Amino acid sequence: MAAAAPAPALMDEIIEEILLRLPPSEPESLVRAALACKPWCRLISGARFRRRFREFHRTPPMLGFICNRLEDGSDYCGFVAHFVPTCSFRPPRPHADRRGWRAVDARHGRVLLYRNSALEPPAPGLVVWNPVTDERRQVFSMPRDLNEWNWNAAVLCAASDACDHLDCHDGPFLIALLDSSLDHMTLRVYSSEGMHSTS
Amino acid sequence: MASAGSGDEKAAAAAMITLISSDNEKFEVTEATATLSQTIRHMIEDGCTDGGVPLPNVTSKILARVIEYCKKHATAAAGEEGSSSSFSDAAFLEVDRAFLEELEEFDDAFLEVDRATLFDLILAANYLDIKGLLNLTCQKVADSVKGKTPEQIREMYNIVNDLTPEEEAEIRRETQWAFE
Repeated sequence: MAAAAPAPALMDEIIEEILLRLPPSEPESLVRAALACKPWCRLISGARFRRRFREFHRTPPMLGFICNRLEDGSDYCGFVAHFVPTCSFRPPRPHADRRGWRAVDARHGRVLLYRNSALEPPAPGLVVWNPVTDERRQVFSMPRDLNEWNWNAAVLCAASDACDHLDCHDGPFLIALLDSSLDHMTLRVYSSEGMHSTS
Repeated sequence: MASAGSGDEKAAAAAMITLISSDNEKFEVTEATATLSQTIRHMIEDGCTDGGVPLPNVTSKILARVIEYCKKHATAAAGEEGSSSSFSDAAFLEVDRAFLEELEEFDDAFLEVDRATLFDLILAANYLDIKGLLNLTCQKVADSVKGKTPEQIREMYNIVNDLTPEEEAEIRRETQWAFE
């Protein structure tokens, strides 16, 4: 019977082709496959594979969404940026770790978190959080003259215009911060590269 | 030679290529079927297919299956070309849909093979550079890996675990959610 014949060994390039076809909406499949052996682990965690995986599937999967929840018994700034999963994935650290932080915007794998400076312990304004790796980048202090009740901010990819946003979450980004009062509006743009701002 | 144009086309479509398996079995196929393989397409373009194309990496058993796939999909490719000019015609769309469904059924049935044959088909598809077949067979293996534990994956594919217990424990700790 053919069933008794041992399966031939597959070359690394074919293993890669197979693993590329694991479903992005079931991220546990990739993690489990990475635990099969060292070569698979190296392959899956390599930059080349991650890039190809995103290109192959094009539309990134929805891992979850961020919900700003008011904590019981807290005042107006007692938010927790809750990650609400829509698949098996969970961020490395629990919700409690984001106590006092509120999500303002999210784009291309980055979440913009804000913390009111009145909170203890004091921490300056805006942070860009990667929910997959739990990395937090570039803390920006909020301008002193900011209208606390009337502002909004967005986080944007600062790679070239040609960026397909499939693998840019570790790259440069911009934060646009707009605040308005009765007689004027101010737009500030912060860059992860130069930290400069324009008004 | 009243209808020289269409006659030539027919002659070209019917041009036959001989493929020779590793165990020396000969298979006659049309050029349209053979050129689903980029490897063979390049050989035809370079004019080195006279006297047959030796395929020392593919056994007759696997080559027969590969040709079966190519025949079916070459017909599908020809059908697509033929209907593309009249795609607005609902009747043609209906025919296309029926044909695509039939093709899908063919692919499903085609993949009903044991693991050793499936792997041999992958190796042949890779060597012959047949994109559709490589995609189909690799997806089948990926589907079988999906949802399995690392232990099950190792067992299915005869993989020796060379991760140290410490390394394995660390990855599991970092990605606990993947094992719940």
